[in-house]
Amino acid sequence: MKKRRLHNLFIFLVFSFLFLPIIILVIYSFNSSSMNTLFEHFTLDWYKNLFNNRDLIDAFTNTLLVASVSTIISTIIGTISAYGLYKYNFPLKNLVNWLIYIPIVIPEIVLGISLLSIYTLMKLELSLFTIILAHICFSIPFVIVSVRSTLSKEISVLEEAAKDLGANNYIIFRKIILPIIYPAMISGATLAFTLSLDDVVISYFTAGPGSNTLPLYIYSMIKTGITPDVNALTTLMILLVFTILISITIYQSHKIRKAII
Amino acid sequence: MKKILIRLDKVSKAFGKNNVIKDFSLDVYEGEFLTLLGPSGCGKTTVLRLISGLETVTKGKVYIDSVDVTDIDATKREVNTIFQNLALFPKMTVVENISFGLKMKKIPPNEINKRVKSIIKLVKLEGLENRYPNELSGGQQQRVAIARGIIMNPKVLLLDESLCSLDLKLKKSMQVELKKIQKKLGITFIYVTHAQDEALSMSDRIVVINNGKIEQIDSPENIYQHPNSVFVADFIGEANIIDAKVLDNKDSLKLSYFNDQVICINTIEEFNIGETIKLVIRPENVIVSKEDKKGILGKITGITYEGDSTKLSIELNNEIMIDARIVDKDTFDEDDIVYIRFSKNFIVPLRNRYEK
Repeated sequence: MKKRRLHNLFIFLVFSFLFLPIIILVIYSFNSSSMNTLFEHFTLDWYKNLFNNRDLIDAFTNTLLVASVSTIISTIIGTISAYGLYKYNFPLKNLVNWLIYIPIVIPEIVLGISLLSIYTLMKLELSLFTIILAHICFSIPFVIVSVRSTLSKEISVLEEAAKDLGANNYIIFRKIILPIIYPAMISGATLAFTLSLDDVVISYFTAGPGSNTLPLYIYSMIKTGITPDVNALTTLMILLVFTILISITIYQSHKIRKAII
Repeated sequence: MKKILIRLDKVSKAFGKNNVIKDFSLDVYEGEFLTLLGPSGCGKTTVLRLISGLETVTKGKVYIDSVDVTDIDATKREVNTIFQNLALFPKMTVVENISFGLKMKKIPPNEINKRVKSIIKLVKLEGLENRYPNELSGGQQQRVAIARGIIMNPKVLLLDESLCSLDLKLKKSMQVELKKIQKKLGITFIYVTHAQDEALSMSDRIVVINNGKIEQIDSPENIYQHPNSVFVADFIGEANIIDAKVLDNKDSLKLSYFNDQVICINTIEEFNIGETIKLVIRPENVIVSKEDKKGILGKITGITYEGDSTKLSIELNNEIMIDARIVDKDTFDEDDIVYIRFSKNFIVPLRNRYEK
């Protein structure tokens, strides 16, 4: 009994540690005081304010745009790369396999600086486009690693079986491979989307004038003080993320149940 | 004259520097059940893959129905394979799996439906049409794989150790079913296995392969009773292999063995006087008795009970071990002194050429 109580206490502490900051943020988004220190009384003013703050809304739409476009493109490129790496043998394949991990382990700041210098060299004007390019660059390896883990020896036998039954390479990929790697693609894409959504460092180096993203906007507010409408916006984002996560979970458990029955 | 459906003409296959198949020539007749039998790594699966087109030959020609298909892709050859681990498509239902090949051939949907229905009936999968492979038992998965192959009406169905993963009982019943399906449809089957019992019970002809080369092609009876090499004799069933010397070759072959024993046997093959040869004697052709003093003296050193029969290990006084198979086990005990004889019609003389 005592052990059990200790057990619960531990779980409680872990979850408080993880979620307390978020909960406080949500609470303060309803705070009438503009200082994030004292709670005065309940208000929805910041939410109203939010929709009048042009800069903030722009930054938010920029972030969503960058994250969606970079996720879609990096998922496509990453999936094709993973399939190519699995299917074909070429000289230095092992080196390539190893190089994939570089963008994952390299410090973000180094990647940011190097991307900036490439852009300058290529005389690319910094804009939303350059941010998207940078995000695609660091997202691809995550997709590759995720998808590659599902491509095993057994899949090559399935490919042979399909070939034996007269399927061409396009159909083999579309009908046999894709349904198998699809979940890994989704998890790779989710990872890419989240990484892009909250990236500060790389965006900082590759953003041009007028191409502010939300993390950059919030970061720049540190100098002037963070206003509670940011709290309101982040609360809305948390709501969004939770909805997505819950629907994915429900969808998957539904699928698993279907598979068992 | 039976029609030749598949011809391998001096085919070789090398992976890098490793020659897996060497100068392999084989004719497969229409409607037969042919088994490629050999130890693992002998190249039997490679032969199958050369026929299906999943592997291309390094040298030689492959003909299917008199057409040179050496350079034709697997997708276009009119043969289908049932793979060792079945390779059912995991994200497709039974019906989707079975109809996959017909869809690839762009057969009209109502004909696909008709053919799928009759095949499902043939392989007894009614009621499981919409299950996924992981919701089926091993035997059911097996039948889906077979259905997926035969629905294509291939000229030849290739089976790559397809029954290996099943338990003994299921294996036996699948063997019977396979044979039935083959007879009913008249499709040529080429079956690859390392299990000699499967080969003996199902095949019309057996091709014994060793080291990428054909050792012997013959009917199961002849392979078992008249092996043409020590390898075949040893690989198929159990065999006592003993040395003998040719004394005379006039009317019948007069041989001496164990120094002091002399026997005369009839054989078509000719041997030279003085030649040292091998004799193959199956354990069931060794006659063991306690009274018959004319036989060779020996002592029973081991008794292995095998259900339907019993195997005796007998040590002769020249320290040679002979295995004998008997039906009635109660007559003998370990350490008994016995006399053995070989039934003379079942002694197979072999030239010594495969000695290493």
